Amino acid sequence: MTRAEYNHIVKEWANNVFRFALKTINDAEEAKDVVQQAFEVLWTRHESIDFDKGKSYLFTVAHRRCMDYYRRDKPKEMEHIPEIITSNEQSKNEWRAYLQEALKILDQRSKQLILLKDYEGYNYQEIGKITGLNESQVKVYLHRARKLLKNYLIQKKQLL
Amino acid sequence: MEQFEEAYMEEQILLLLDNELDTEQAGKVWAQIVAFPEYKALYEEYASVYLTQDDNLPLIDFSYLEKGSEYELPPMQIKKTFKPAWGIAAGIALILATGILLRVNNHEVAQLDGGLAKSDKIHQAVQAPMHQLAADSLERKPGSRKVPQPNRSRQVHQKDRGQELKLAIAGSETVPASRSAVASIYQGDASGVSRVNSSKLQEAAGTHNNYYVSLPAPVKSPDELKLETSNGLLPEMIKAGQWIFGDRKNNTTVEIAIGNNEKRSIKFKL
Repeated sequence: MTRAEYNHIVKEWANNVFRFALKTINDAEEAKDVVQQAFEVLWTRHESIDFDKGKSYLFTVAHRRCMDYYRRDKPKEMEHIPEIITSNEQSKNEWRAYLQEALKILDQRSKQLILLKDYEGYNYQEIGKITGLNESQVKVYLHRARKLLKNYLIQKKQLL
Repeated sequence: MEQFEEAYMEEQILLLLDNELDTEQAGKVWAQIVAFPEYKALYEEYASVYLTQDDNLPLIDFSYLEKGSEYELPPMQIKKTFKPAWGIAAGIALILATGILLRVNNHEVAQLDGGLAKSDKIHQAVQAPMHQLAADSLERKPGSRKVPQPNRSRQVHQKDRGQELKLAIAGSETVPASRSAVASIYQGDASGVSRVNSSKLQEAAGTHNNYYVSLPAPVKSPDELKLETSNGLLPEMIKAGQWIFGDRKNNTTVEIAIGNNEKRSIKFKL
């Protein structure tokens, strides 16, 4: 990977890594640190890493850093992230808020699998490489997490 | 059967939503979803728990991470994580080091025993000439308590011991050629404590401050030794101790410690 390619990855994926870290550890400053660390590691090894594998390498490092953070410090409650809300999007945003809240009921691993799947669009095999799980484990954990989210949100709906 | 089908369809719907089905299989699942309202409801429920891209998170300017840019920051120190393997290795090293130290210590203690001849059958304890030992025991008043000695370091102890032995050697010209030794003698079940004459105290060749005496063989005849049937090692040891130090009592209290917490005092009647 050349310097230009590395810089391209920064522009293209830094915010995605940040979102992944933020949603996992719920701490914006720590999430920025995770991004910086992931890119530092990528830069120190950029000569031996192909440009095509840059993104998954970044997420692998970010995943490990997030897990380290989780083991070291208990994640905080979700910080208030300013959102731009328009009136016609209100109900949609409400649902998103419920969904974000529902993510809290998941364990760290399941949450990371959901984030990698939904935000980054990785398939089971790619998620397995990033997280060190095999494909079947990814499938099982993801499906279990979806069921938990579904049941939680159905209960929430009934209460409302 | 219905439950099985439902579970199967639930899995297929999740695989469909995750784009993990090939075109043919995806088509079959879609057909089922369209045909059965309950599957359609399940599909919609699951579809609603997928996170969407546009969640309005503010974009952060990470241009400082670009290399060669004017905003580039100096590289940050990457936090190193503690690997359990290092902890295990450190633990093993600690155990080995402790083991080696204990072994060296035991070896030193064995050397301090004066390098006297030892065997399973005969145990000797000769630290000083016998007349000196006897004088010590005579000076002790019955019932007098031992005065606590200040804690002295091993070096000091070794030095004193070395000097004591050197004095014994230096004065060997004036003392008889043979020396008295206290020995516990075991013959089968019978045992006894006796004072026997040994050879002159001699320095072991090639060692520093290691001395030895040799006992005549046979030491004494069994009749002379007045051997009695042993009641076990501990009473014999106590008896030998009392005999050496002239502290004759009918009973004695022994404290036995098992582990760190269990301590029992046992009174032995001799």
